[in-house]
Amino acid sequence: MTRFVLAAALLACPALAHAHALLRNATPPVGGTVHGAPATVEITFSEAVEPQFSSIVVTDAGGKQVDRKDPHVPGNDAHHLAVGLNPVGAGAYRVEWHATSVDTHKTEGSFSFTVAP
Amino acid sequence: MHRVFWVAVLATCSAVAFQHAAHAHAIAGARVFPVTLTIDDPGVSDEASLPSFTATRQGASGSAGPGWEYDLGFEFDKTITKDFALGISDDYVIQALHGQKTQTGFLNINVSGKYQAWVNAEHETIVSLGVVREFGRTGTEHIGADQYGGTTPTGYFGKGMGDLPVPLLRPFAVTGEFAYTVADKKLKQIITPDTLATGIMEFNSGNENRWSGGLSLQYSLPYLRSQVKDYGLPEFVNRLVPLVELSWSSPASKPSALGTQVVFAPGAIYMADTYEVGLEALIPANRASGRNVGVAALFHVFFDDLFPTSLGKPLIND
Repeated sequence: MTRFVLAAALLACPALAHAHALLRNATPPVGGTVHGAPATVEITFSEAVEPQFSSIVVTDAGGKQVDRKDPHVPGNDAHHLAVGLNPVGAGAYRVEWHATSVDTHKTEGSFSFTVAP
Repeated sequence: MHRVFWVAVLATCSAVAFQHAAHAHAIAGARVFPVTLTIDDPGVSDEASLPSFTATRQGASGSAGPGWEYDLGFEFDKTITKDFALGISDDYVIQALHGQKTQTGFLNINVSGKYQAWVNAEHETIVSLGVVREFGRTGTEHIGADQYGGTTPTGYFGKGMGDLPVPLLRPFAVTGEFAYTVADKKLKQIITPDTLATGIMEFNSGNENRWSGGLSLQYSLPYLRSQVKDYGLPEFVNRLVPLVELSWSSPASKPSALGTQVVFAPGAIYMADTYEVGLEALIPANRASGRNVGVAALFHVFFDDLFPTSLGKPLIND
């Protein structure tokens, strides 16, 4: 019975939850193609992140970094993290991100997108 | 005597087949290994199964079985350091035997220690080592809880396929475990008047040593969405991990009361942010494992996500 009480108590306290920050969606989209060079890459996370301890790095097919090294929270919503891009041409690009959620959990991931002429 | 024999077979089968039926989720790089239902997964974490559930219809020698057994499993895992965790688990069993009063009670208590020995984020790989200790006489004897326990050294691994060249294959992952159980008391065949009258073999209260293990093959739609390509699928679908598990155990000493058991378990896991829900069919692959399809379900909460600054963090920060 004690175990059921514990379970009920846990479920009754969702406000305490701060899960790992996982990618929910991105602009440009994960694996997608955009027409024209995007000005930024923006990731929406499942949880709020600490921008000082989170990063987005964008590289071209040759491995050259093409972002402006300015990871920031657009607006005031820490579920989002963005980085500006230098002018880029058509081609494939890779995004690598590291996120530290507000409860200090660390997560990471990567994806690609394509810029079409 | 027959009822005692069937109860013992039921309890032993369920203990062997599902002794690891409550587990830890683990992360290696971009890969989140979900909690699997019939085998343990490779990492350590703060979490609990509240509960796991199995319903199986079992019988010796491939018979239709003496009845249904329902098993509610509870497990609590606590990280001591970020790479080492202790766990405690038990199972509440309901046995509905044909022509008999329904029996209920607890199986023996298991305590486990697990060390996450190697994590490679780039290649989404985890290797862990652990020991599971079953304490005899801590369960309910009339539902078949063993008088004697056993010690089970176990190895675990998980490998995500994110480094494969074909994008749509990258969401695949494989996990597995391999274990050897050393019984506290050796199993011996005994001869009683019932044995002579029925021809059914009976054994003492000991246990056989056993090899056991399992594999899971998973396809992570969360990984597909976040790492490969976002197809704009409904959110519910994007959180599913279809998988198939294979669990197996076989005798490592003679005599053997159980033989080799193999169970396939296809199903799916729904991955929420702070909990997961799993549902699988339990399909026996040979007669010693039974002849009827059972079901396994799991509700599992992640304390490291629910209570990251208290219950969900290691006792010792290294």
